[in-house]
Amino acid sequence: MEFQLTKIQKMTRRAMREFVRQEVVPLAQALDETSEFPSANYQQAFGLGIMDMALPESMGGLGEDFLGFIIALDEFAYGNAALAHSISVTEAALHLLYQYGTQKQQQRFIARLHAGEILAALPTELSDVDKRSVGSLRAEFDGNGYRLNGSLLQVAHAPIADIAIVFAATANTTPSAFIVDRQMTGFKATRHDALMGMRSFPMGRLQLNDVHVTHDDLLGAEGNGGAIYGELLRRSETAIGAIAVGISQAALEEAVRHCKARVQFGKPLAKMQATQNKIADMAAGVEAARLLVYQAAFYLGQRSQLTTQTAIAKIIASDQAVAATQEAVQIHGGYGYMKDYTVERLYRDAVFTQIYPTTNATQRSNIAQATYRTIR
Amino acid sequence: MLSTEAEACRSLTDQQRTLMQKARIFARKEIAPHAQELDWTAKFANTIYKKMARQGLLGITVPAKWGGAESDTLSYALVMEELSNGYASIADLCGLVELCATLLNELGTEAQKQRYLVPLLKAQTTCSFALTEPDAGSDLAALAATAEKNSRGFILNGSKHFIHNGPICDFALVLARSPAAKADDRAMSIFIVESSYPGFSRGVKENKMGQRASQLSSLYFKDCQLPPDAVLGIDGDGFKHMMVVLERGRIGIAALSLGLMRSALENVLKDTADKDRANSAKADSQTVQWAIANMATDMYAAQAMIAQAARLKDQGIPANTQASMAKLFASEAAVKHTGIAVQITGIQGYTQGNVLERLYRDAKVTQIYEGTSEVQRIIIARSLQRGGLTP
Repeated sequence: MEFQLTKIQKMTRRAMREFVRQEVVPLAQALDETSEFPSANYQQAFGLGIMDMALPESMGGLGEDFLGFIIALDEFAYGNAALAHSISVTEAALHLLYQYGTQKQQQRFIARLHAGEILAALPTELSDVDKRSVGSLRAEFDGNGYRLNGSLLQVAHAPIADIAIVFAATANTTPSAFIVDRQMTGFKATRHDALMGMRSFPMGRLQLNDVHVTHDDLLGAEGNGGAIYGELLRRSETAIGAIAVGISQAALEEAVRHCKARVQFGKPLAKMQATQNKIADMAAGVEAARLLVYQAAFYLGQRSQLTTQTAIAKIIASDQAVAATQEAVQIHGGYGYMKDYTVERLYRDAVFTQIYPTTNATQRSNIAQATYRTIR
Repeated sequence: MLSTEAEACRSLTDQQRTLMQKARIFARKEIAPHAQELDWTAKFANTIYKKMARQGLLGITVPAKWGGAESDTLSYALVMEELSNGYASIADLCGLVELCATLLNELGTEAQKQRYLVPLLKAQTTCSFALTEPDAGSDLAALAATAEKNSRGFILNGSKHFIHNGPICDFALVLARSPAAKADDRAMSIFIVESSYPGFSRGVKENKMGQRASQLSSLYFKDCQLPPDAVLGIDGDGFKHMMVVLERGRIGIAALSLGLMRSALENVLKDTADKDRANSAKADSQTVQWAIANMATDMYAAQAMIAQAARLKDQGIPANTQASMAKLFASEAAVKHTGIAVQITGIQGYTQGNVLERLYRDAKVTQIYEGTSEVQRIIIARSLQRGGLTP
């Protein structure tokens, strides 16, 4: 096993860290307050080539592997987790289009996504994909294509996306993936009420009423939606894992800075054993979570056959993020409860990673099923 | 259902049960329907405050002749639990009045009681309890606010922060270093400071994660002139006085944490009791069952700890350690279980407007105010190390 990051990955980390601290961190609090989409930072991230780092150069990408992207995402989440999540949704959409799209689809969408002109929406409530029930979306054949009906409750970017990748099965076939366009008749997207955290990330409900799609709108082979969805889910799990790691890293740094500066009972909190135990556990937790997430990203980038690696990385990293943010607020005392302090936002953002793309309870159930298959 | 069993376990007197039921009905009818809006607007719940006074839910342990309910600490804990089950910020307001009213009742002169206590319990005025300073949070010995004697009474200088009701209070009970004995670092006094006194000013209202209807700000005293009768209790004994009322305060916050946790459990049960197919699968899920079982178990343990500490205090037995244990246990459990409740509910529980979303934010400060969890652990450990409580 090789534990070294490549030279390019190390450079990526350094460059991203510098960029995020200069450009992302200063805007994060205001974006949380207003719940606005972080357009400026999002466009900057495109400019830096973050979203297409893992695309081949022929597609306008940097030809880096997925781990390079995950390292960048970790750094972005340190500054603004909601922004990092938007970046990861676009990256996943680009990846699916590159991996499964026809040449025509790639020409039509990749360049525009890549240029930040359009945004893609991705649903995540498809855990029953094996059982053919794909959220509540249904497809029906109609002569020269399909009609799509149903609604999805939890769709990333739904309120602002120009295209959405959705999965729907017909009565007799396994699910297929479709690219639907906001311009299509019957496409309706609404924004959720504000969330506790990740407030500048647009989540919403996607409703398709008799949306007509043709074979040209199929992504990948007919009936291959399950495999595509599986790939999307593994990519999302790894990305959310990286976002959880970035949040934890920020919580750790805020906690360390505060406990060094805050003097009570004649000495800095940092000198107290109870604080040291907390900091040690946070540092250990971040390290463990980061290694698992990077390992999952490495395998995913190698296109290895994966079973539970991404889900395990995600549950460990997200539980760790919640624990770390709880302690970071605690170390801040009353200050940590005030919106002027970064840890207040981190505390609210962290919980999202436990429930997205699916809840950790569902993840654990899936991990157990896979583990039963491996250990006989 | 949860509370009926609890009543039986706690074998309440008629007065205790009546107060608890009154608070429960008040929470259901007058508080819970407004909790979400109060959380969003972060405004002072003036109407509820006035109604709470009319219902006799302010000054639970204060004699009736001053306008209190003339009951005991256990009743106070029961009222706090019920009010918090409606919305924690309202319970915390009741708790703040209880602390100030207790100090005024126990230490005040006849004139001070008439001037401050009587209108307070009618909710005609609002009070603050000002201990915390920027550099004296958990460490109250680091207190910097100072009062000097002058010909017209006292001159107060210093600043207090994170003061509950700071933006709106008519008067504040302020702990400051006393001119009585400068050498002793615990020689502090409590001063009654009216907001109209020259040299009194307030900071901007804090924007908080949760319990958003509770109004917090700094208070500043710059050469603030106090009259000679501004001292509450014995000059120089302020620290001791404050510590005694904080014991009841911790039982109150433990009960507040419990009420909040009960609300989370009630919401999880309601959510999973629905008859449709998707939810019946959820009700049968062991993950959900375990979460419910663990939450209910911690709730019962907290109820028992709170009742025990309160009964000890009512019998005149020092319950400092027990109060700290109850507060530590209940607040840690509240944060843990509201977090789990959000997690098993998924994105709905993470969306504003859902009670669980608010409870997770509201819960966190219970580990921080009225003595952080860390301070409670120090109190508990020191008491055991001194052989004060049989392990």
